[in-house]
Amino acid sequence: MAMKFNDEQLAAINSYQEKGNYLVSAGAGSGKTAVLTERIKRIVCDKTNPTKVSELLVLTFTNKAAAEMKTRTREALVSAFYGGELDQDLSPEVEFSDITTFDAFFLKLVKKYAYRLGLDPNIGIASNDFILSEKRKILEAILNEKYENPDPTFEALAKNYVLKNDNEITDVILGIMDKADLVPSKEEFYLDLKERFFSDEYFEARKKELYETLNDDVKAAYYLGMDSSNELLEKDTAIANSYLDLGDYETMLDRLKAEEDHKSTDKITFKGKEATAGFERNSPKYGLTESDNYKRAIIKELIGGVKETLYKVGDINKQKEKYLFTRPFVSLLVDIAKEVDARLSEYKKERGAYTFSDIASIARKLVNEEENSDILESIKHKYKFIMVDEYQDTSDLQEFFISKIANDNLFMVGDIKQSIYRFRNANPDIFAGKLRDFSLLKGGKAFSLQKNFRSRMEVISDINSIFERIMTPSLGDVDYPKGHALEFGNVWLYGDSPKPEYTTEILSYDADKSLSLHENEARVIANDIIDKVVKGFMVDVKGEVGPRKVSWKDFAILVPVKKAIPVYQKVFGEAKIPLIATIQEDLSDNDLNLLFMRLLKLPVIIGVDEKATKHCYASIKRSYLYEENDDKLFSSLIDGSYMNDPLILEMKKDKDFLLSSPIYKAVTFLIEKYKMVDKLVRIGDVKSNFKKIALFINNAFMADQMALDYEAYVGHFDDIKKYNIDYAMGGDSADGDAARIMSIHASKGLEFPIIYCPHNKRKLSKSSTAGLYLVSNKYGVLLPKNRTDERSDNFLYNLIKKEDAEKGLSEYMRLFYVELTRASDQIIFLLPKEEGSEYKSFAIPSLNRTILARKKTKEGKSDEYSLVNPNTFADFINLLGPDFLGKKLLRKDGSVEKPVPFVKGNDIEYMDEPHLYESIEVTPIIKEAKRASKSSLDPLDEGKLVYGDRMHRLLEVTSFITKDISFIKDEKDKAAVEKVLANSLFNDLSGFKEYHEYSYYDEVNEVHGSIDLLLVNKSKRQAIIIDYKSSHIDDEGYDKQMAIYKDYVHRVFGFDTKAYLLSISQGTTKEA
Amino acid sequence: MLFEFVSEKKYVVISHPSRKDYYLLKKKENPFLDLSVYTLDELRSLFDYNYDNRALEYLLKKGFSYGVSKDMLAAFSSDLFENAVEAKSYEYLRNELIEKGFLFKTPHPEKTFENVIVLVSGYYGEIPLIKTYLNKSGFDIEPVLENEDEENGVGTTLDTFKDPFEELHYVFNKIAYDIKNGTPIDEIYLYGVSSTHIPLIHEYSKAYGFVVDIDYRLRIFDTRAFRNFISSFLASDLETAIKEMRKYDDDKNADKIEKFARQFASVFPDSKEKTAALYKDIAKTIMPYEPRKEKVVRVLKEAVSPLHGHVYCIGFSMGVYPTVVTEKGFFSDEEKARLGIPTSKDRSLWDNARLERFLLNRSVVSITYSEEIFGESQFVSGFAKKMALVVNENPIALNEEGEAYEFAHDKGAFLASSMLDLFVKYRTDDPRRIGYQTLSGILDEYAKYDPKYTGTKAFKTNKKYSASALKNYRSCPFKYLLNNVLYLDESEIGFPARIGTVFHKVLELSHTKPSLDFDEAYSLAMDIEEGKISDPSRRSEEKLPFTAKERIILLNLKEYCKTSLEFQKSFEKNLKNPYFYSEKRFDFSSDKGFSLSGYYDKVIQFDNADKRSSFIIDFKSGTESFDEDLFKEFGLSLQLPLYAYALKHDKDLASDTEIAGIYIAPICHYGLENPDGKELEELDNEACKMGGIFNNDKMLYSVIEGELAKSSKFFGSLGVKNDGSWTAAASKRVRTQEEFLDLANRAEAWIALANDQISNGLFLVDPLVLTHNRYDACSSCPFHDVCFVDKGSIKKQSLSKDVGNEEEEGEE
Repeated sequence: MAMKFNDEQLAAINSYQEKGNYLVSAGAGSGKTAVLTERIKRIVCDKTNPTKVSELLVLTFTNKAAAEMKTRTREALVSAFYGGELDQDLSPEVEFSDITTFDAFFLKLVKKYAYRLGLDPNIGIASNDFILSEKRKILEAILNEKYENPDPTFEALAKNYVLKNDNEITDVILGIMDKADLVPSKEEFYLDLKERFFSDEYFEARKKELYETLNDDVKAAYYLGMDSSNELLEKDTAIANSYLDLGDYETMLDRLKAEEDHKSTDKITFKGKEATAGFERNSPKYGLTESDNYKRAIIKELIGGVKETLYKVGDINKQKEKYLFTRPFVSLLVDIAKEVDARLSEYKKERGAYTFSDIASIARKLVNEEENSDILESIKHKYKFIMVDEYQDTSDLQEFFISKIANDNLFMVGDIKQSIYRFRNANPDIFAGKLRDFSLLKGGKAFSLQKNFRSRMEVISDINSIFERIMTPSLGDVDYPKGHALEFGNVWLYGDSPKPEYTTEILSYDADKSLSLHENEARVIANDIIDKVVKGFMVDVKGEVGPRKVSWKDFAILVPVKKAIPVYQKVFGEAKIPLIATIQEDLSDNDLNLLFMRLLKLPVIIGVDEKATKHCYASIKRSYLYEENDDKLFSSLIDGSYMNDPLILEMKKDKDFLLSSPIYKAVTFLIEKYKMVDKLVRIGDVKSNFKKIALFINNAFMADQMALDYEAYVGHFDDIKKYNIDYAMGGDSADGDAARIMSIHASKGLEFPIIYCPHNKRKLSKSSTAGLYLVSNKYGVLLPKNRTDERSDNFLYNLIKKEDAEKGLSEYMRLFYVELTRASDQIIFLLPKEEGSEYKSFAIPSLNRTILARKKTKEGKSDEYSLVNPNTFADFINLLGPDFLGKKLLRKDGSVEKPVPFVKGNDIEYMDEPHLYESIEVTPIIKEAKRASKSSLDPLDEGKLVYGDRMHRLLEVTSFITKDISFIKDEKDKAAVEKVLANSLFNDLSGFKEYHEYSYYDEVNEVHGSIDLLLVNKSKRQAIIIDYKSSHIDDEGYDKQMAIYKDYVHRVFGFDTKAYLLSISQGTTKEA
Repeated sequence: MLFEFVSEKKYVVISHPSRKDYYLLKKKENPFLDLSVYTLDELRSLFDYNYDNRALEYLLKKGFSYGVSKDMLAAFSSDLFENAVEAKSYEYLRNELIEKGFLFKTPHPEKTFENVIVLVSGYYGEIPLIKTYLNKSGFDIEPVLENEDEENGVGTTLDTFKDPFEELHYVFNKIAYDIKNGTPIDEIYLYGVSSTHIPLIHEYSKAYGFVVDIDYRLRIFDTRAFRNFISSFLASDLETAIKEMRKYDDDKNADKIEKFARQFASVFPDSKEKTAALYKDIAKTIMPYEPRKEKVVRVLKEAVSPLHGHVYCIGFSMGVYPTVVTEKGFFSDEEKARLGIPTSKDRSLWDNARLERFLLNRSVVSITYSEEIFGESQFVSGFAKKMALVVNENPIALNEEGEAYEFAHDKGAFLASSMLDLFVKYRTDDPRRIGYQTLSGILDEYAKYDPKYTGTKAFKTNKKYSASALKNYRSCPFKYLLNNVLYLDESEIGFPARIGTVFHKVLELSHTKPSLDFDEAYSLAMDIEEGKISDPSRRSEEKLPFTAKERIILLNLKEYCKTSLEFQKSFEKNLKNPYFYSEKRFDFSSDKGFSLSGYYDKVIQFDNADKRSSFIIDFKSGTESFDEDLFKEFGLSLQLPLYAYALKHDKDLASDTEIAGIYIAPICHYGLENPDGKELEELDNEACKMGGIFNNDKMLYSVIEGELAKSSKFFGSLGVKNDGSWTAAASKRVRTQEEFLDLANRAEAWIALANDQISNGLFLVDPLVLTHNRYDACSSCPFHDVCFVDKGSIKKQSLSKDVGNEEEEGEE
């Protein structure tokens, strides 16, 4: 694919010519993969500094990305070869190259250095469900040990934190372990949790942080009002000012105490209202504008919040006491976590099965430990260039690894605005930090690619309008207008005058209250799609020639919650619009799985547990496998005759086989015997149901690798349920002319002409800190003093919450960015019409829901807007304000007729004239292969060449006819061979031909082997078989073997055949 | 033309293991042929050092693991060991082994190559290495390469498909066509089968009528035999373990296990654990026994084309082909290169060369891959493209002349229906559409399974109902059938329920054994629940002792129980001449043809003016409350009205009593543990307040609480305004005697209705699901795997007074 690069892209591509680290900040659709591929190609083609493909390390996050990068690289190299830039076709090298995912690269290194790490080099990747359930079982066992023999600390822990169950302490231990899995060093993290987070320095730092957080809010309030000439606002600003920059927490607290009527915080009966004491009521005499009112409300809210916190936190030393009180508990919980870790490691080691996160931490050891410094050096020197794609998704551990192996040769590409994998521990701060530094030429150089080659200018300009208002360094991690706004790049394709039909739309609709929200929106979207198709809406799709009429496949619905997908499938089914869903199926909660579990369980409980047997029986009989008549089925359960049903009788018969077979065999046996697949036709959706069954089988393979036995495997599924373990499988990515529906996360990296963005009024849950206990990399483990201890005054908890909420919100903004930038032709939002005004939902939202603050930075810059508290995506949309909405967003008349008048989708017509073909019947014949002799050796027998075998070998190369043994130099050997040759049997061999090690394969009898010596006389029609034995030749066991030889030789030669055993040590023979 | 052998000459064939049998069969055609076959490894062992188990044991005893020992020996056997630099540190070990005769050389290797013709087959990239070895024999041997080029094949195509369903559909049709045209099935091979293909191939095989010899190899380690062996070995000794294993697994795997177990039994005479670890290591390197099959399409495991055959390559995606051998082993690649041992790069290149040769071989009929396989995206291997194959851009190439489209038969329902799933994708001119037609008969049954209840039978029941049974019926008749008629619920009584039982018992003991102090009562209640002391008031069931954890929890909860008890007492102390019935059983027959039984948790009768009044109290350890709306509309929350009804019929209790109130008393409310800033004491009373409905007689109120107060200390939402009228919240909670009677009568009517339906065998799958998360009969029902109802099809109902939108939704 020939591609023209612009100057920015070329600069990034050619950066390889100079040693150094580079970061490319590339907006959506800016051709970053093309840049990366081109850079690889130029590096490899550069004759001035020859670089092999194997000297490149290119890391990606998904297999798909790695495969795509490989494909593109290979194609680039092929074209370079044909274009004369390369003398040799290097494309095959790509297959062996390290263009790979982080996971695969770590695994490769760990396998390579397995011995250095004391590991089995054949380590495998275990399915998470097995590891997670084992982890839970170990934890439960350890806790039970502690309950049985509690030490005083554990006793106190149980008293303080265990009420109806110990879920909370279980959660905190698992929380500690989860975090530990993701940090560069587990050991350090555990130690930190026990020591560092309880140090005075730590506490002082947090105190300072608290002060700064409060002061920031005061500052924001102060700056908001400072420019105002309104009297009342000036007063407000003065109040804010009285709290501004007081230097430390205590002084700030004193300031609160000094407030009128509040001599001591202890005496204040603090309610929200008092927080805004000192602020006057609005009054017409002050001539407040709407904007003033808005500002005032924000100032009050900010200062009120500060005061409330001061009041609640109060004497910080008391909080410290409380905090230190929890130290022994935290310490104990960390120890338990470590113990679980240790036992789990044993379990994994024994089975040679690890998770990818284990592999990553093992790989970390390779580059971090003193004793492995040679390994680090060799990795460092192996790669001349290291490139990382989607760098914004890097985790701390990955970053640690990259920084270790880098050698002033890093090239990182990414878009921080598309970092949406915080839940997988991506840390966008890493990218943000590098971008900041590199922009100042500290440690490297940054490039920016903002020209978008994906979307129409209408789409780009609307995206910019939204994000320049909401993405700031503090929320979203970038200053959007500065170097992050998208630039329209497809000028030649779309021209430069906007067309109204591509302007972003909001579909506003009257919700039918009897239907769910999703069903309402699905219907509106279905109608809109049909409308566009019927009317022949034009789209211009990349890679196609010219504009064309829209087709089903040009639409994508990006849903924020996966559970909406089935609703869309239903509605679109009714509308006859083909729809392909990318959805993860939760296998633990579907009928097929439930049935499968019953089938698996029946043999285990039959004859053991009557109730369970009956339950399994009822389930299987009522399922699509039998479709048993209900009267018959339930009568048999009542009168007990079910025990004579073939299902039960057969299961009893198969029980031993099932329980003693490898699990995959048992599972496939059951699936086969009960025709789970054959009968799928009865329930439909065959392909996806088959995939589920295939997944059961794969899971069974995995269970075998985990060395589970049948009963344990059945128990494993109970554990999955008990511990609520994720047991899901990937989505369908089938092709065809169909609309798509997927989660926003799943849409990353894809593009569609028209995207629908529904469900904009859902609440954004910004904090994941809902539990009683918190574990954080930055703040350690926070426990309340006990179960009934209040936390709202716990400032550490509030700091975490605040940080988490800000990060969460930033992530939502980026998610929204990813959603909108998928569109090439048009973006369509869905918003329910609100009661009263149709436009109400477009107005600035009421203050209690969303606060828009013109929050200034610490430096007092005035151009940064910050959205402090949006609750929904609709709030983002609404931020555009009435002016913008009025001008740019067309409101569609979205009144929906009920029922939605669906246009029939594409009808299918059958062709006639069926063809019938003869069936082919082939009966499989299964026979066991037998081995008559030792033609191929077990690995364990390799080289068993002791004396007998040595002699064996000498005889093998000695001619029994010429008896020439001059080639044997060793006298002892010579004597021994002579002794054998002296046997009268070999006296007259004229006319005979000798065959040493006459190996054969008799496929009819499935016998193969090799005869030590075969002497054949064609004219006399005689054959003699000699088999060497080291000494004893009297063992009767040899007869069987000799009989097989004789039979074979007689059959193929048709001669009179004799067989002899030869004792090598004695030189004697015996006819067999 | 393939190489032709003649009887007069002597041959050595250096053959890839997969072709060994082919050359051996040549001897059957011509038994006089003097032909020896060596693999590359066997050739190597002629010239390099060999070792045996004694060498292995020697290293194991020195403390090296099994894997390391094997790798070291592989390196030690190299003739070029002297060249090694880093390996020098192990040279002493190697010398020791040589000295002891554990590392040794084959005598007179050159004799093998005296006057022979050497033919190489199935090796390509390895040829330089083979030549190096041959030259060591002292003869100037230039091996002959097996000429495979002229072997006749059909010609190769490369096709891409959306998923393995379509891919295999195509491939199986081709194979069926091939068989129909006379190709012996044993000459047909599938290459590229991965574990994800296996179940699919299995099903397709049935549909097409030929068997594919899929052989999924585990390790001996994964077998039941080994598991039996090793667990018994750790518990006893070797002989017992072998016997134990043989009890269940008298098979080839047991043979293999016994063999190596005996061989290595003496390596660590003092440590059973070490021996067991060694056994495990060994067991991981050995494949279990698999029987051979015939008349099957074979699965080719390595890219060596059989010398007669039609090969179909599937799953030809990048990352899988060509295979890349990763660097592993005790010595690094660099060191291996010095030692003259093949490095991972060498092996990769060999594989690469073999694959290249393989793909160009005319026995390969087709190469296919699918873009998606069970949730994973795949990309076509660039390797295949590079081979300059006939690349067919169209995903499906079925229009070869004379080739029939659809060979699936008999069991083709699966195939056809799977295609039907994707109906929308196929245009009317797609040739596959013809295929559907051949299967139309089978498809008549498509998607017919309907899990709705079709029973008509009324099962014999005793028509005796408890409150919970009736609730089951109201929530879903089918659930009632399974739970209360057939007793299929296997779930055991959970610990939370046992906490409730203990609390109930403590509250009961406070009346039945008033002499006990609280602590004594609590521990007695625990003893009774554990079955240490039999409970005279109830049927004895099998009781399990509490675990240590449960004991701790019960002790932690003790205070909460005490608070509840004291609250109850503080309430009771105001009553006049109270008479308590605790855990009182009722059991009576109604004249409407059913009977009722159960236990009131507590009934208090007391004097109120000139009447006797009764409180009916049900203790709940959870958050459940009485919802009269649900009762009236759906018959849920039936329990308290049912007790009111029972009270009216209970001959043991004063019959002229009037109902003072029916209540749920929270005895271990979640509120207790979620203080939200409230002081514990303040909270206790709040959380202990009883909820339900109350007699509207204000006199009664004054009897219990003394002066009329703004809000009751004992009853939730009950209060009186200054003017003496009920507060707004209270007026929703107070009822006249008539209204209480009405509730009781409604309860009777609900029961009569249920009884009627049950008697008529109406057990429809009809779960009650209400909007606003108010009730969902399916949410914790253990019988979904019997009813198989489509949850999406359940029509959610709402209370007539419900308005507004649905519940908030959670995030992904």
